[in-house]
Amino acid sequence: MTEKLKGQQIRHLLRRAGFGFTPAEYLSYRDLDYDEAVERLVDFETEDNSALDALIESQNFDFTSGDDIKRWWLFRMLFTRRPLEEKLTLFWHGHFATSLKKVRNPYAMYVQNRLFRKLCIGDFGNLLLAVSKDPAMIVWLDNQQNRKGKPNENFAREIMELFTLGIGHYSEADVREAARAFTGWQVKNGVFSFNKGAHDAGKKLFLAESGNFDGTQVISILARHKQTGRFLAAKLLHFFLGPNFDRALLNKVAGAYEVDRQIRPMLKTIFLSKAFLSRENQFSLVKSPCQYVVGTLKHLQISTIDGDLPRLLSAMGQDLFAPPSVKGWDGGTAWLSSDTMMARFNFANRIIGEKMDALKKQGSLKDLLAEKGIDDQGTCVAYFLQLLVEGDVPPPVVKRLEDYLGKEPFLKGAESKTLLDERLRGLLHLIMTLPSYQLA
Amino acid sequence: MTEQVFRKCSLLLSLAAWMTMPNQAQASEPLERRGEESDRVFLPGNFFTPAVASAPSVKRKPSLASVPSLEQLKLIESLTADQSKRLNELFRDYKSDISALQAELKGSPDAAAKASLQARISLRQNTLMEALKVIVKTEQMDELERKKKGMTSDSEVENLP
Amino acid sequence: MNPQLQSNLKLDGGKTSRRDFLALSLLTLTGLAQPAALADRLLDDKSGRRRCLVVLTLSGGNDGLNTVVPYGMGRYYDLRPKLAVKGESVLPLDGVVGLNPSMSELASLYKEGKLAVVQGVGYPEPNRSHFRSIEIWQTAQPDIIGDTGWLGRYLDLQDKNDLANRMLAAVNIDPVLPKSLLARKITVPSVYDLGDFRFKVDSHYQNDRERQLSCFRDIYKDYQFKGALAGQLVKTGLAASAASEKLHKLTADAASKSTASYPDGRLSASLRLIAQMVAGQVGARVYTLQMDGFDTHANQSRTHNGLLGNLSRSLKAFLDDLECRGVADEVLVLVHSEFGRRAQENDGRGTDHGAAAPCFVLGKGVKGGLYGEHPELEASKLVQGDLGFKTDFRSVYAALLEDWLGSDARAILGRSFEKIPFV
Repeated sequence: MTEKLKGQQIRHLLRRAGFGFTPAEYLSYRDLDYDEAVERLVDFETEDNSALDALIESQNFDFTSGDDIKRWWLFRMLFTRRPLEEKLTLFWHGHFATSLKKVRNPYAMYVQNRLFRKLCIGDFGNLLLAVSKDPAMIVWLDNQQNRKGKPNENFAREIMELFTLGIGHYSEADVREAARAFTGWQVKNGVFSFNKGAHDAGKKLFLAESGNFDGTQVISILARHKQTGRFLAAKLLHFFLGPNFDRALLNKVAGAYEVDRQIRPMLKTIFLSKAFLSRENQFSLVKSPCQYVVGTLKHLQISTIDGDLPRLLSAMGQDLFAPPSVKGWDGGTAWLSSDTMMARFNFANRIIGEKMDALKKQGSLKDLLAEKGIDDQGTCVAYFLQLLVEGDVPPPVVKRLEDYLGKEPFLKGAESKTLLDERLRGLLHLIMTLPSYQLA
Repeated sequence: MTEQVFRKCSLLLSLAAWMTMPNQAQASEPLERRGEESDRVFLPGNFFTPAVASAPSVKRKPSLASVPSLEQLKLIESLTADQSKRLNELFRDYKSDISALQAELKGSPDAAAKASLQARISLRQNTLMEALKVIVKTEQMDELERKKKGMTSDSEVENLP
Repeated sequence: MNPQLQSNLKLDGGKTSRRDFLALSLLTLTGLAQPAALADRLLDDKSGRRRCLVVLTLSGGNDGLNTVVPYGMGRYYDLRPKLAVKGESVLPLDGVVGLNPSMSELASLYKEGKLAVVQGVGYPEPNRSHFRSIEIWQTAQPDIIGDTGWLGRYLDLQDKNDLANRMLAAVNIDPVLPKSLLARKITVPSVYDLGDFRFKVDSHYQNDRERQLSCFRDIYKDYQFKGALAGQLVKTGLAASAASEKLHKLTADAASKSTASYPDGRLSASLRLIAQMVAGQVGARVYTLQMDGFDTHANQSRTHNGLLGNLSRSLKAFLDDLECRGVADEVLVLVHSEFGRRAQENDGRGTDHGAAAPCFVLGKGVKGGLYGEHPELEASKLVQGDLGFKTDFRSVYAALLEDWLGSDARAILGRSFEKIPFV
């Protein structure tokens, strides 16, 4: 394999297992073999992340403020040394979608987020159990009101429809029986509490097994269920690899789950599969707003997070800690509506403006460009297309962008100083509005 | 009419044919061209690399006051129903006073008037804080402080399987 | 379209003669025009404006029993010992049912004949999943997983030239496009905040905006690249830039032309924007929007009454606004939810996912009144604890599509449904 092809694969991996890369991050991965890079990303516990903790400490985040917990998480996504840990946390947030809008307790959402992070890659049964006892989840899906004699089915339905089996793999009777098993799982003084008086300890018939089940046993049955492995495998594949995979790969990833319900081997199977590196799967996913924003900040090497970012992300359709429904974010083409795309374009415009203001303070743009070997329209367009979209655009676009830069002699003359600034900002903005830039 | 129909039909047909044709020009070229390029552009020292790296930070608007919000106070788990009711009343009055003062501040013409209004706002915040101390116990305020710092969750999360 | 033919049809009092019908069939066979598109020209009023439909979805599953309260049915009070609305506070529509007391504005509209209430609307074999059920309502295809929406198929049937003459064919006032608007031929734009819905350029270089925008359009217009997502990206990007430019031109003008006073909140803001677009002659045939928060599994009363109150005040303000702008004749509003809620309240003073529920249709062009039967509440008549449906939701759609929008309901819904005569 050529070095160049390998570099391309590593960058693809960093986009998918994380949120893109800064040059420094790329540098620290590019000399690894691809398999080693996968291992380093997946076995992230060995990566020392204490610098991040210290940085967070210094920012004085207020974990009882909705906006601040959003900033805190973005800060993590941007500066962590364990990108997959944050990407998986985001995956589970979408999977076990819980919203501030109903929970109304930023602190509880923060606790839930830490839970996702801590259990994101291990035993799914443990994760499911912890989530089922999580105060924010109990409030979100009304298990507080699920009592013996008059069960509330909300949690029981969603744990099967959305968290484990998927629609069509359970009956309405299973929903009723599972709801009985979860009676009495409540929150008291902000933490989980089992209310024995409200629990229905009677016999249940659930997914063809019977017994005096409580929630723990229902979770165990669900975690061991073959369909859960398939459901999670398909969802992980869609999230990390894209829509182009065959049944054999699905079976392989589901098979990795069946051994002992671990998420880690599923991810290794995905990242090491041939399909993951195939040409049709590179740049085949629509970037989520988080990916668009964090990836852009990394590309542009911006180290100050704008406090307004949570609002901008929300305008792009991804309000962190407030997914639109129990189903989380649909992702894929559902990210693309006129106003969410416009919000992306306008974010790009804003962030380019900030970056260029900062660069101009460092010295003349002309010199900065010249240092990189950029001396005319052609080299300029090529450089930034390569940097931002790996050159993945149809040839007429290159031509049109060169035309945009104008016929004036580039980088020459005193008069072109502001013109250069204007056109460079415009060019970068236009590249970030390209269809290719919306893909990862 | 007939001719028009015919022309539209043929247009549609040719359009359909064009749409199903594989596009030769763009099929694989960008990826291949990509392979030939150096990856220097992705490495440190590219156009976007700042001359001096600055430490990561979050830029927030300075918050107006150190007064906790009603929503934050409601996060105190040990708050009794009676405390909660008294807080509701306290904040109802506080909010109406503050919004009136802020509206006045917005419309006030000169710096002297503004300064005097600012002083009245901080005075009102102080009286709120005094009233809070009477309703909410010190250890309850400490609980809120710990939550603000994200501290009490450590035991909650660390005891997970 | 031949102007002669068009005027003949108009003279005909809106009835299509046999000869014209043949001509129309011929057009249909060639696939270049649809009878619906022709018929709908007949529905233009004197000013040449068009009728449009606003579809408001109450997201989460609205509790129909506490919205249109069957206060005359004793069983209601057995099923809802804690949640029932007291008979004396109900705003009666007749001797059996009445509106929740939070909806006094809608009660007045009912008295003025501007509100139609269709009872017991649902579909066979109800699905209790939010997502599947809303999908069924949006695609109007309960038996398959459809990939177009009922409104999308309606738009697909519109005459192409006619659509081209409109600023926008339809608008979704929400960040996420509902499946109901998925069409084959067009991409419907979504607008949430008009201030942000604009292609912005660096504030230092505002003069460069036209150059950038034209470069953007050129690139998008013939952007060809691999992958399944290409088409969708390009269509959406183009729709975004075109729609935003158009909308900004007209709303600045329309903003000041009304004295209607809306309550606070997102729903109001969205409805106001729709009123501005209608008055600004955007020409959209369909507007969609949603209101969240109806999934009331616990401690329902306060939340639910608050939502209904906001709904009622916002809709009243919207109709006032339309009146004030002189376009009240052009707009009909459908209010529906993905399902109602379980007849029996749960133990947490809430209600679980259910089935049939009432719909509202309102506007100046509506024949107000109570339509359809109320589902029986006796235990033996409930279907797994849920209300049995009395009116298929597609009967409501059929009436809106044919009698209001002048389209071909059968082609859109796959078969004929009895129309509810509220138009």
